[in-house]
Amino acid sequence: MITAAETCDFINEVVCKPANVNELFEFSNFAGTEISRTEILIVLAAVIPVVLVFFGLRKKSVVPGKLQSVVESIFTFVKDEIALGVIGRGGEKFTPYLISIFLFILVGNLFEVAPLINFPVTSRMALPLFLSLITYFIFVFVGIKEEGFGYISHLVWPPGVPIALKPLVGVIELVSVLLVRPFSLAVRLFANLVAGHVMLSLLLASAYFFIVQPGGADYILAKVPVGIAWFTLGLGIYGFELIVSILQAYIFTLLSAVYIQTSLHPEH
Amino acid sequence: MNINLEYLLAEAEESSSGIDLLLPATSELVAGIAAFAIVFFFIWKWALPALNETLETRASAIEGQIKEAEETKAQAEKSKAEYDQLVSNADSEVQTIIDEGKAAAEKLKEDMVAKAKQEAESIIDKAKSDSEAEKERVASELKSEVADLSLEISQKVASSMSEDDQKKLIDKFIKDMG
Repeated sequence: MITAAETCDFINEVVCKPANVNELFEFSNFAGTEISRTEILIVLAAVIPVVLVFFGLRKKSVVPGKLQSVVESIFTFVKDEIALGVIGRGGEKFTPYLISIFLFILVGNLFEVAPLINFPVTSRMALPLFLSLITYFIFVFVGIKEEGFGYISHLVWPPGVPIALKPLVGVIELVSVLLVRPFSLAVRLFANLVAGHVMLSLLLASAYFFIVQPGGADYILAKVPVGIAWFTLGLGIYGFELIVSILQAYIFTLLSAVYIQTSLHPEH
Repeated sequence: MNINLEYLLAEAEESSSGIDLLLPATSELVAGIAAFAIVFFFIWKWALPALNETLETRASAIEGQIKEAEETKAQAEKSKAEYDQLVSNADSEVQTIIDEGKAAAEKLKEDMVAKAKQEAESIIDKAKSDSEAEKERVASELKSEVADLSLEISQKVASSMSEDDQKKLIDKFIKDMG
């Protein structure tokens, strides 16, 4: 986007030719390989939590250090508050999955505000879709395991609903649970990170455009303050996106637990 | 500067619609599956067991420390009770010693007072007896003196008086002296 801004003839054009929005999300492959920056970052989103957790827990100290405390806090939070707190009885066996998606999404999201990276890998549809499909398969599998065919029949012909409404509610439930849930889970994460990334890119690129490319002495007084304003706003949004990154990882994990819980304990 | 609307629309049509963003790229999907598998197996097979082991070790250490603290506390309470008992015994011993001391001092005082009284009484008695003896001696001497003097006077008077008058006078004198 900055490259596009630099080539823009803003003196003679009222509106510059818009950059292809895909440039914000797609990167060319490394020279001589089939590997792109995004794929490297996806692998990095797995390696970073693995390394941090390894160094956090390898000493198994009775009196934990700072890194161990952080890792233990995250693990016990997901285990106690989400796996056991939301799913309840039987939730402990889903703890590894919930901790994994939380850490993976968290690091992937935090790439958005990581200096020199500034690109959340979860803003690529592949990751949210893949993770939401895993959650989807888990809760459908758990539902069928717990209730057998009753899981589907209860969705289609929901108990406790007036018989006249059963067909309508059944269709809504079926579509809601089996079709909307995985996509809403994926799109929520994807859309939040795309919006954040676009917003940050626009604000900071605009700041760069106004400050670094003033277009001559006559424009400096007019454009530089505007650029500084964009930059300041961009920094504010930067902090906001940091919170969004953590929150979205939590929401994705929490909703996965909620969906599993509805299959594991349908009586609730 | 007029905005050429047709130009802008044409530019917009030429530019990408962004629909590609909604479609997952196969290579990224593969990378995502591999990456997530790494995280999941690491958490499942190593991290959670390590965390559980750490927490169990910590729990047992805390339990051990609590037990040790309770034992130490019990030992301290026992020592304190023994100390209190010792202090209590020492107090009673001190009190006994003080009482005994007081009693001894009191007895000594009484003995001394009694002895002093006895000595004083003996001194007084001795003084009385000495006084009596002195008194008797003085009286005796006085009587002797009086007798001698009477005899001398009587001799002088007798030489000038009749025998009967002498005898009457002597009797009267003796009577008055008595």
